[in-house]
Amino acid sequence: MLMRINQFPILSPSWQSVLDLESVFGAIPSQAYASRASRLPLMNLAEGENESVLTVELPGVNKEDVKISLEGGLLTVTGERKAQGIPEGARWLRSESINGKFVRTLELPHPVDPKTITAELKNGILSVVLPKAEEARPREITIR
Amino acid sequence: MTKGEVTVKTGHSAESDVNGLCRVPAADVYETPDAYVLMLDLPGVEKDAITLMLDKGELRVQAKPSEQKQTPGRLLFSEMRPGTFTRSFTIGDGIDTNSIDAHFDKGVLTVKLYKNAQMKPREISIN
Repeated sequence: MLMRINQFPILSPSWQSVLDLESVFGAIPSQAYASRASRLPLMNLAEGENESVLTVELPGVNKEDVKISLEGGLLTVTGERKAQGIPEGARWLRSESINGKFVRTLELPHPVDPKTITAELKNGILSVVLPKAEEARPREITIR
Repeated sequence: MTKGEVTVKTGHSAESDVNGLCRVPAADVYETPDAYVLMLDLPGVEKDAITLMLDKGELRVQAKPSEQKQTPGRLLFSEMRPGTFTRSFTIGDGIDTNSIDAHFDKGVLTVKLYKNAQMKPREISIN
């Protein structure tokens, strides 16, 4: 019989609580403020048996302008979408895309070994593969 | 709005409903002395999945995002809206419809629509 051992309860993504803090305290850390001012990039998080995959919509963002860090179970994606320059003598008729800096932080649902994380930015989508640390993977218990 | 300009439609049209879920991509438009440049955010789309149709003065963009590489399992949260990106633009008579350039990079489609010769600013020499 396969038993699922998982001592880490599923926690809600922490950006939710960051937003709550913003509304409660008004004063917000500069990074959080930047992300709010420039609207947050949308993300999905899917959890499989051995890994989770985070996908973030980042159209128009250069690979060099994205940073991913993991600290104490918190994964942070920071970056910047550089404003589109237009030729001299040109004028904007419409500007809907969101430029500028962004920060998104989420609490991972399971421990991850930072060395195993891989990421790819393709067609404006950042995919971050987060393999579960050994202790967080389901394992079979031998019945003696 | 003068004749010859490129007009952005709201993006919601009857035919997009027939095809199921649709998403309106963010659009940027600028005008240079000799062209209009449209830029559309199409994250998660492959170049080959973009259809750019010019029909009776309407330029229609449709693009279906490819399935995301996701581990089978459960979605812990999902903010990205599913659906096909759909948006239309009205193209005035001042556009040379035979010379439209389009390219796709980093999830952004850029379409350059050149103005007809008579729409371009030109200096009149004084005799």
